[in-house]
Amino acid sequence: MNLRKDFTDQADMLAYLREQFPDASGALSPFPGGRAAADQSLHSFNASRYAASRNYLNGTVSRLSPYLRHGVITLREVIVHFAGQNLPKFTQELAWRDYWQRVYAEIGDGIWQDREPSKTGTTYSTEMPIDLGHTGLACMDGFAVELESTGYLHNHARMWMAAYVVHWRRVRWQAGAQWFLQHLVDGDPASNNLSWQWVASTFSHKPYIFNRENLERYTEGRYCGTCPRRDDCPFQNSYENLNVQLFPMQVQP
Amino acid sequence: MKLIWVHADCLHRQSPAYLANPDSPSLFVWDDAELKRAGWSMKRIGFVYECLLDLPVTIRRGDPVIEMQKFAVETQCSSIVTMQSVDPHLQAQAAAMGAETFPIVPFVEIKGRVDLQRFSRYWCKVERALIGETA
Repeated sequence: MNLRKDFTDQADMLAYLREQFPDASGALSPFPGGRAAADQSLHSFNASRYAASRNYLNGTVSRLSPYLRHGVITLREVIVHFAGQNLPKFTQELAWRDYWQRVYAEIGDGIWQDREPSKTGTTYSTEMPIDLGHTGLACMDGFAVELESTGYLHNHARMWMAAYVVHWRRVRWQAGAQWFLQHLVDGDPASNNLSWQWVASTFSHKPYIFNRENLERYTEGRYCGTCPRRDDCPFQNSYENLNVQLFPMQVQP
Repeated sequence: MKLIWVHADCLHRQSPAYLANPDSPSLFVWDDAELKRAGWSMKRIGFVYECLLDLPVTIRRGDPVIEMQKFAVETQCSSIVTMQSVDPHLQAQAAAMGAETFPIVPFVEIKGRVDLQRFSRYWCKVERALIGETA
């Protein structure tokens, strides 16, 4: 049986998809699908602002990743679009995606296995914490809700969330990676899993962690001021102290 | 005539598979077993579905290999073509269909073998060509 393609609007499509895919949770993402939407993202992206602002949650990013993930637009088309504009940082970020794809081509399902031994000396749970979204930490709860309601997170928020799940909650990176892939509209097994491995230290020289100062700076205080746990913040520490606290069994090089 | 298998790694109207077979029918199959395994939320399904509405493609659900074989008989196509994917699951399905695979236009051409142990080693190989292109 052919599935429908004639919808009056998005609501009509969503009602139909709910009939066809009753196990799929939630609503639609704010990202519209299709090439016209990809072109809209491409043309509205002020790439000259990218390098200086991309690490801030309110910074200028392309929002092309869902379209790149599903081949609606190609990396080659994007780089050709920006030819001659002197965008070394944006070009390097496009190259990261190409790199992840090349690693995937080389190791296949090995992206689900540790690429290297973990450097943390930590034992991990295989289960995701059941309180994600309700931890009382305004930042992490905000990221979890945003992920599950929109299907998108800024890259910096993905790194903080992944570090929190793996290093503060001591959950195996595979569980977190699976969670992201269920929700991210740009969920790509290679980019996603290998980035989680980079955070976890199974595809990098050391675990990635952050502290409150870092998060507060790049979120421009969006969460910390009203956080119920602002006086009991697990990220409020120096990197040196956090490393000792989080990785007491870590073998020092 | 050839039948085009459209999969979720290449939802491009100008893909080499479409360009080489402009009059061919094409089919996308929602892989029920894979959806159940991966647990995709409606956000992901809806996004891909909207992308499919852009393409001259028929949409079905089930086992992609079986559905493609059935659709090939219905449309009197003698062979199947598709786009290359690095996903081993899609690769296995393409092989099971006996599909001819069109390569993806590479982001950057690399001569010789590239060491993928770290991004920095890959970047050393491609930086000059890529930065030169956007400079």
